[in-house]
Amino acid sequence: MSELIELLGYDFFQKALLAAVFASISCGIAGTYIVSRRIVFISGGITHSSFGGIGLAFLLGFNPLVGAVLFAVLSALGIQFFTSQAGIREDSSIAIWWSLGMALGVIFVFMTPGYTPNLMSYLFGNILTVSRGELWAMLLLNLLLLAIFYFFFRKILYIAFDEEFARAAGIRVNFFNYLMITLIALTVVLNIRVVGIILILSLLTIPQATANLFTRDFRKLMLLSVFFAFAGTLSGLFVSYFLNIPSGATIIFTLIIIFGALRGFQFLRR
Amino acid sequence: MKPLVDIQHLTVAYDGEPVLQEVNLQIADRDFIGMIGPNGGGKTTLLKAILGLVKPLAGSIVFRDDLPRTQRPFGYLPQVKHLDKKFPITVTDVVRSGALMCEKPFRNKREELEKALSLLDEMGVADIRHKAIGELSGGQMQRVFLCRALLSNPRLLILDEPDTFVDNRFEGELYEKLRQLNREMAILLVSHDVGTISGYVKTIACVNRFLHYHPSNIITARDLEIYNCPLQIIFHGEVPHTVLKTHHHE
Repeated sequence: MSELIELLGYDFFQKALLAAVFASISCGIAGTYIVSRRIVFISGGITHSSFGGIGLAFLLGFNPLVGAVLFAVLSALGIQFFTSQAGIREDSSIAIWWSLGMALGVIFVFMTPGYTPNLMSYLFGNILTVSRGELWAMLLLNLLLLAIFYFFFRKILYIAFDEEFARAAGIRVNFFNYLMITLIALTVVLNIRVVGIILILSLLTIPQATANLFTRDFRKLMLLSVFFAFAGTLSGLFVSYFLNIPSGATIIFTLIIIFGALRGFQFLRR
Repeated sequence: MKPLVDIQHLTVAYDGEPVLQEVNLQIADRDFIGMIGPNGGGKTTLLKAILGLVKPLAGSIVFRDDLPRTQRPFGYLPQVKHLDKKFPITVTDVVRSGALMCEKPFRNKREELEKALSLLDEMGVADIRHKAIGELSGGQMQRVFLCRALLSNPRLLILDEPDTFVDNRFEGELYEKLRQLNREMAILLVSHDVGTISGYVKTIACVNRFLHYHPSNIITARDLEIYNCPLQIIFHGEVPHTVLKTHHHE
């Protein structure tokens, strides 16, 4: 117990806790939208293409998250544009952007002179090394997400459920689609430090799957997803610290264990 | 009085392939038009053109001056088969989304909610208002979508096959309900079942790339033949009924 109190006194651990809170809120909200609209695969494409930006940042020596944001937003808009305007099949355009970003990332990292020590933490995440600046960025993202969902909640929900109906009613559906996909891109990138590019999809889908066991109401799904994301991240953080294993992977593990346990419990009760 | 919607020489094409050609149709207040025709004949496309969802290649769709410019104040019930039944949304939320189509917005959320609940009550489905959309039967779902279409007090109600996935009892109730609603609004109803609707609609439009308008609800086998509507009908007195072709068993 004293070890725990001591741990909570450490600056790096306090930052990790804050990162867990921020990640849970943004991923809980954005993930509910992603899962409901069935655009998990699009989010996967955005995530992976951000690797190109990280590679570019390594090569040119600027903040990797800036590069990641650039590539993620670009690919998000690119996928949306390819699909809705250029008439390319959605899954194909996702694959194009997904692999383009990864390929550029590999090339850029290869061209970067010397050793790139942080690469692994971008690919697989490390919540214990989240910086103060990154926390501020995450906080801003949370405020932005909360504000947009507060003011446009009904439009977002109705477009997601029946885009055609919203279009017939004169809602600027394209604008909202681009806005949402940009928010998803930002959410993905700013949470990369928590669980990494390869694993970020889990934070956007597993808490939602768990929440979906209890509710099919979009609002409650969002709230419950935030809760389960937090439960998973927090417990993963502690487990990884005490067992001294990678935090990103452990968080995924605890998220899945929570889901599996509750699903199993539900199954047995029937 | 000018028609609510005036469609002149409308041509719509997908990828250069004309789906509708030279379509003329006037929809006036209190009209009740049944739209029939083969699958892929352009019925849904015509509805979408009226709703502004597809751009015409040629021709015009003109709305009467008293209708708002920015949006179309219509009630719309789409084909439910295209909607995601697993989407996490409750019945009440679905109905309230109909407020998007309002000519005059509700004074407040409470008024909107009350209207939504009274519509659900009217349709006899008030008890399912907290359920998710995926938990409903076909008939319940159609009722809920009809409530959504009606929430905005539309001047024109557009229904795309509201009789799919419903049982016979509800089908009768639905058409009776539409007949009542027709006292207050024009109705454009797409159906594959010419026999059943002809007892309720006032006029019939047959759409098969071209549109042929029958200014009565009686449609004869000869009409269908001339206009190339591949529907088979038999007659019981005045009301025609569709019959299926003979099934060939292997």
